[in-house]
Amino acid sequence: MEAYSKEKLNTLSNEDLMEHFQAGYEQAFDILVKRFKDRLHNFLYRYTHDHQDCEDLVQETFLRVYRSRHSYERIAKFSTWMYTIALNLAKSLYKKKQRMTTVTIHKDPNDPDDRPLDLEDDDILQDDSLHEKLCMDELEKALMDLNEDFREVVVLRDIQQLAYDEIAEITDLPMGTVKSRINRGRAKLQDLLEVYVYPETIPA
Amino acid sequence: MQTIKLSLDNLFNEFITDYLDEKLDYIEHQVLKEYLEQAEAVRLFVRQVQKGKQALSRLPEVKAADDFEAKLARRIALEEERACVEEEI
Repeated sequence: MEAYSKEKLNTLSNEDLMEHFQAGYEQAFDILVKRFKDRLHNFLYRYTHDHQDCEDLVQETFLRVYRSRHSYERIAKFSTWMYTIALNLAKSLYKKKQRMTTVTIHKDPNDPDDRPLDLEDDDILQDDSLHEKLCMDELEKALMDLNEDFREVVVLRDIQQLAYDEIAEITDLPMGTVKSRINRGRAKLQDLLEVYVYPETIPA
Repeated sequence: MQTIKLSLDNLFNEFITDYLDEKLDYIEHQVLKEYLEQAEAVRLFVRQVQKGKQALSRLPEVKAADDFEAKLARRIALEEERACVEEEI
């Protein structure tokens, strides 16, 4: 394989870089890390909701790409292959965390110190930037509370901006199911947001 | 509920997806618009889908820390070192 300068490597496609990496050019891997580190953080944070866990998962994803480089075959897009690794890792961590949650001691609802922030507090809503942040917190919470089947496709489409066929391949679902889950997931997310932001609208 | 039944229909979802991705041509757009005017439950579902999509676009981007690449390089070096030791054993 022809040896390329760093500048030349930078112009290659992800798949070409992977081939160079397989041939022993470690610089090609470094470029892939540069290209995908932010995208992967943005993706995996939606699963962990914790920066440290997210960083650990991104590291683990790249580590698996590094270790398994020879199992990559060019028939798949590099991004599809890598997102599949990342999604599987995220799902395992999510399941592990869910098992841990079942043994967590619940908060005392009668304890005033355990009271969550009330969105309708005038003092809070007067501060626009804080209000904006609270809305973001509600949005993050709604996304975390979304059923996993919906969340994975919604995140891959609306946050990672992946094409439907790539999402179908990553999730191993038919295209029709992907589109259906994306739409239902978005609608469900909006329903959750309305419940969190305007709890008084919930029918008794 | 009508909304749920419709949301499970693949053809309907194709149509809604193309509508939200602005891929419908003028005629298709008009057909959908007329249909939504008559079907309230579907209109509400589409509205929720649209609002959910808009809400997601407001999420701030999460980026890697400045020292991410250095940390990853250290971890890979450590793993390689460990693998070499294991091979020797």
